[in-house]
Amino acid sequence: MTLLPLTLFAIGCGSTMSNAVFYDDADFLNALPGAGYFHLSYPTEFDTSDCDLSDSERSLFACITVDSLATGDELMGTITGLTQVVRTLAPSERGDDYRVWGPGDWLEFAPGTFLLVEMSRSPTHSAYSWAFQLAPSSQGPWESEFIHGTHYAGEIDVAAGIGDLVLDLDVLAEFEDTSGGGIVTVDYDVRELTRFSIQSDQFDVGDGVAVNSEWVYEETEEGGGDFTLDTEVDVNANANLEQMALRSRWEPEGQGRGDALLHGGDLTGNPLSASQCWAADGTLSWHFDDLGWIPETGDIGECAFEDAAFPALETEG
Amino acid sequence: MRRLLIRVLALFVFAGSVAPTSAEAAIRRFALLVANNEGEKGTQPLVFAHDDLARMEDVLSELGGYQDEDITSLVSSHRRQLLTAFGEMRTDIATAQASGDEVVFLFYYSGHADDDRMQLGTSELTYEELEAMLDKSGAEVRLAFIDACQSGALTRSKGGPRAPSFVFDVSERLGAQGTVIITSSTGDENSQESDEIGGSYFTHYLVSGLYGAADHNRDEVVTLAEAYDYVYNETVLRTSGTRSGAQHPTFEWDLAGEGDMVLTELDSSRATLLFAQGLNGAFAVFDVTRRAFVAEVDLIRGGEGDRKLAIRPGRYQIQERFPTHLRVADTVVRAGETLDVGSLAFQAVEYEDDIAKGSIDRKIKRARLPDSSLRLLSGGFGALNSQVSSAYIPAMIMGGASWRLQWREGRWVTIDLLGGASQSTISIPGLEPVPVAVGTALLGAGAGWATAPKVWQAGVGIRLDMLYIGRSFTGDLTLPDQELTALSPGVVHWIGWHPGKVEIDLEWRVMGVPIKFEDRDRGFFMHQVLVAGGYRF
Repeated sequence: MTLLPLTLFAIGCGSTMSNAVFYDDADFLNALPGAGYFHLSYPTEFDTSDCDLSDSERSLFACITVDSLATGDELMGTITGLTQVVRTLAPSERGDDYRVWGPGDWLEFAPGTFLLVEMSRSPTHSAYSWAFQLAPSSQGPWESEFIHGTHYAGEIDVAAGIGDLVLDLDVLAEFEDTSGGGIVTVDYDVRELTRFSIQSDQFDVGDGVAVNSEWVYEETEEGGGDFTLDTEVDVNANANLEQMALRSRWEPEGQGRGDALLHGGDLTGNPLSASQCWAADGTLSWHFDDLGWIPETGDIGECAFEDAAFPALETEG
Repeated sequence: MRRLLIRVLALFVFAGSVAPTSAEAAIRRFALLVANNEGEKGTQPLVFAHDDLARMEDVLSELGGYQDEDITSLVSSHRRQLLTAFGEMRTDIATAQASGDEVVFLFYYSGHADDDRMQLGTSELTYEELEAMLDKSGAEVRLAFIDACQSGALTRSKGGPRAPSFVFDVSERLGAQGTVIITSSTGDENSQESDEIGGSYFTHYLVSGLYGAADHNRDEVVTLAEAYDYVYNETVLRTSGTRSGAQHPTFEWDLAGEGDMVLTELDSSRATLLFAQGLNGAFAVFDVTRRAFVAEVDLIRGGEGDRKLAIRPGRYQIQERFPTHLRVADTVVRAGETLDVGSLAFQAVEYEDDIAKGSIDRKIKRARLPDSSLRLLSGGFGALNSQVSSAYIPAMIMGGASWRLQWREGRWVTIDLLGGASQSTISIPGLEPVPVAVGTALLGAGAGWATAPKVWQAGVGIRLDMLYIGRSFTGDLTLPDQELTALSPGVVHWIGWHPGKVEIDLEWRVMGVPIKFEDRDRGFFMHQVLVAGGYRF
């Protein structure tokens, strides 16, 4: 008698019920930059306004580091905001190795602009490529890729992989009918310890100034951070750009150290190297520069990192 | 001695004072007839209680002077329905009395009972309540015939004798007023049904007597005294050889006034069967059209003179029984005709060819059929596993119909057809909720066991359902519909409220679905919570 129910339980007549297509949809969407991994922040918060090298209370390098991370996070937010638009939509076309969303009039910042998103992946589902294209109508022409990228899936979580993306702000500016733009390239690795490398080419920083810059952020095993910024600056606001390279390191609690090189421009022939240490709240705890621009202050013994770690100079201007 | 007393009693009968058809008497007769084959837990259902009631109704209507509208018959009814019917009849009685009529109220019960109450299915009415009911009827004469086990407790409780001492002063029965209760057995005896006669012994001989077999003095009226004498003698005689032993009808008499109480008048305008003096033997009259015995006439013990049965016109078979065979005569009796049974040509037949036995056997088989109920169900249907519920098959509202058979001993079987649907969403990690419309259909059968049939009942069982579930994606037209079909075994638990013909059940069903999904390596369980409302036939 007891065998009967067991036997009957083994009889399944048939089923086409499957969520495989949705899991595939989710894999495609997870290959797009998402807010879950694409964010940056400094461990502590402090006021960075009006920071100055001559400020004896607050560390200028701490301010630059925190502001740079905030700017990078804002950029990430812009990118993930775009991908979030797609996440709310069902694909308009599906294939084993591709998905298409749109075209649709979805971009709030560019009304009347149509967006088409295409994704494809390798047969092994390990590599995904994607592109967001803009057009003035739903019929196209689809020639304006304003952001595109490649993602290599993580072993467990598709999103926890490595990849790169290119944001063409010139295309956006054209559709928004504004000046300024530039191209931003992001390389990322979010498998375990997050690493972002962002290069900007003629990135409009306002007031008609476009700069080239590169920064790299790496999460350390201890939970702190390591950040390198190599950018053009205009120290004397005379359009004679200097090159600044700053490497900042900080501990999980927020204490950090920055070592910077400033050269070229108005400093041609007189490069400046400077180091600062700061507390978790951004207070300057030690300063030294080799030109004696500011007298050495504080005690190097209070630095979270006693050894200097200057970034390599790419060019000697 | 007893027979002598009856003869003396008959000499003083003043039939005209209460004759049923006498216009001057302005007597109105009301009858409340109750029968229930079902008793309380543990009782074997009766087979013929409803047939007994029908026969009683027939004889009262045909010969007792009861108008059809004054007879209320309750079959398989419960306490509440009985009390309601009595309340209505009490009103009618009061109305009749207000117009100057004298009223006879007759209560008849055939069913289960014990020593202090009648069992009306799963409800009950105590003898105390019955006596109060008779008193409250307001009728001048109140008669009760209780055909039930241990019903003699009703008369014993008032000191009624066990023996047939139907001896009372004739002068007290003239212009009668009061109560007479006659029961089918004593307070410690069972009342028996007979497969041979297709009814209970007591009612069978009561009805036979009322059709004329009890007309001891051949005056063509059957009085209360004659009827009791006849039913007592025949019941005791016929039950003395049964396995349960002899059954002794009893009475309780509280009747004041003059004259005997006439119960039936053998109307010569109807068809009449004449058993002329000189004819010997015991004869049974079987109504071929109604497939039921009408009466038995024992001419050996029946006294002297011609014996008449006033029956309705129709086809009959007259049977004379012998130990080894029957002698039967088929005949048609027309209205106003008096047919001499002695003139009929009897033929010998084997008992196997007895048409009466065949009819009764069919009734017995039908009585052993289970209760059948048609039920409507509504409730919810969903997966027990939260992952299946959230990602594949959202919960649904469902409804349907069910047919259930239930045997007295507790076995039950059911077949169901159910359908359900809902509009909902499924949750896929990494995606916005996916809108989905889901529907289901189930065709299944179940069997199990239940507690004894009482007002509250519970049951468990196993089921096997043919399950279909389909879903379509309302938010994305590019995806095809998806389906699932499976043979699903399961279990069911229910608790029910069964106050009478109506059934209300709460059911919980759990069913295994042997279908695997891509992210599950085994089947899953669905469950249904249902409210069922049904009617029992």
